[in-house]
Amino acid sequence: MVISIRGLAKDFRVGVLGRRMAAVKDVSFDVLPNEVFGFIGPNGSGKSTTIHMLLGLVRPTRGGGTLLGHPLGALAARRQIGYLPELPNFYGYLKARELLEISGRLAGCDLGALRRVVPELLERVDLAGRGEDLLRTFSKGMLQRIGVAQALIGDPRLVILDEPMSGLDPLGRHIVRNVIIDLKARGRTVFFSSHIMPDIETLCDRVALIADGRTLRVASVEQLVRLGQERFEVQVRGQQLQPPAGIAGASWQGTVGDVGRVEVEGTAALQQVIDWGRSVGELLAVTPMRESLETVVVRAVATAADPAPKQERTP
Amino acid sequence: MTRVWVIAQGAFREAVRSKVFVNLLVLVGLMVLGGVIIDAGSIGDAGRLYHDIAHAAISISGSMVALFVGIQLVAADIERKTLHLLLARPVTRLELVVGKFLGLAGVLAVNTAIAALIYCLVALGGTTTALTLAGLVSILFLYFQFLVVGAISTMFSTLSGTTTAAVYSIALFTLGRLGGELTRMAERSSRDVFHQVAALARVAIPDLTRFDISPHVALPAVGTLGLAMLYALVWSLALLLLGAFAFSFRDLK
Ligand SMILES: Nc1ncnc2c1ncn2[C@@H]1O[C@H](COP(=O)(O)OP(=O)(O)OP(=O)(O)O)[C@@H](O)[C@H]1O
Ligand SMILES: [Mg+2]
Repeated sequence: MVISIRGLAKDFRVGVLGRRMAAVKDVSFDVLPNEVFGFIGPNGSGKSTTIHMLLGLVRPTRGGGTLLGHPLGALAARRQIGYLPELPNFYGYLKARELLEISGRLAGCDLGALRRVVPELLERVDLAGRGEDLLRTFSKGMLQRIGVAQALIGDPRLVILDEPMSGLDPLGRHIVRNVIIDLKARGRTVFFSSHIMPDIETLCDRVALIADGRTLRVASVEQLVRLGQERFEVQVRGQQLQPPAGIAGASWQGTVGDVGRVEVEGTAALQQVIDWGRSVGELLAVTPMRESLETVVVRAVATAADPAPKQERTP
Repeated sequence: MTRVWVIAQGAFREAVRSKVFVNLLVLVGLMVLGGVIIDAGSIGDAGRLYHDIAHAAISISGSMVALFVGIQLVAADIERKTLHLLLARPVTRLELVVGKFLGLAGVLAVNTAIAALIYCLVALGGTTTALTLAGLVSILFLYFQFLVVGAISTMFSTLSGTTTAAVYSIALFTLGRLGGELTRMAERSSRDVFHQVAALARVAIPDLTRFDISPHVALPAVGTLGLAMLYALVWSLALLLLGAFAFSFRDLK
């Protein structure tokens, strides 16, 4: 297990009175070797705080876990990790090359190796030729890319990226996607948070979905999407079609000409609707309505925030 | 050790490139001007006045650098989120604090060395302003004072935000400058409470006046000088350890 956390929670003390504010309430998941693992959830759901706890930047209030077999935040684990903070900010008076060298030396690389690796990394994130410029002259997207480069230095076993695509142009996103694909191909493990669902869908083996400081789901992208995929559209052709009566989960969408459309939820209802369609006319098509990960996530989060409708549905 | 060194180097570069040394321009102006005017005017003991002005100017400039760079070292890094990168690496909080402080010590060394050079040049250029060994040693001891001031601000910088750190550092610096005076007054008092306060102050407040060496009289004994150096090192180390300890409980944002 590369990352394994159980019941992780963090209360921050805010204000003069030290009022407790729960930033993370109960987060658990495991990340397996060589996985690309996505960490998703709405703004303020506690992703960055969880990542900070993994790295020992923030001490958990409750819960714990292991990172590369060591306790969270352990020095031994940090030797083998590359990390890109959210909205990275760097020492503005350092040159890009110096930042990479400092990161590399702290990670334990020797200077000789760095002379070779640093230009390669700059090239990799399309910043070749900017190595001697001060970081304060860099644009937001360029900072993001140099941040990705420093996370790769020392060839870490685990790379943790907090919103690596934020602020990047299409080319930048392409670069970062390739970096992740390449890490996976070389047997490394990648853990990244993101709000960009298409990236999650194409890159991740599995994801953890969190909302309001709690893990809602830990599943493969396929499983998540399949959960929402129990919806079908049935088209029937017939004269003067009437809505199917008495089928729970079927909703009549009306007719266009002599074609009627029914949206169906669940396979049991689907069978009934198909039978109904055959009895009243000609069955034209049954199409699974594939939901995007985005829709699934939005629904899961909404249900978690307001559990009342869910209780209604379960008998 | 490499890691401490790398952090020190980074802190040094960052400070130097953000132009901390501009304060030296003011200092040069002040000293040259002072030297020239005093030399021309020759009022009373002119040479003596030059050394006093230079000594005070270097003291103020170095203390300011120590205070303001020190406050920035950790607190501003947390606020700007630049520390996340360093602390996610295999670096302990103690290594970070010590490394940052050594970077500051380097900045102070360069700052003081340049100031001392100008001081010497102006002194040698004047006709009434002779250069004395005591004058040079007094500047060396100012450097030890700067180290303690830097350790004070570094320590507060690990505990709180920049503004709070500034307030506390300046407060402790001021108390330290009053130094022995305050404790001596309390000790002379007839009330017992004051004696206890004095005893407490002696351990809680570094006496910065210990590093004041007059450029005008003969040098104190070597033993006294050595003791002052030791005093500076022990205080700096204690402050840094305290800072690192408190810092190890602190959450980054
Ligand atoms: N240092 C802090 N002090 C007090 N509250 C904090 C602190 N850091 C984070 N929080 C709170 O904790 C919650 C989780 O924040 P966090 O940054 O982990 O969310 P996130 O999932 O990363 O959000 P985003 O997608 O916007 O990056 C938020 O409600 C935030 O206000
Ligand atoms: Mg975040």
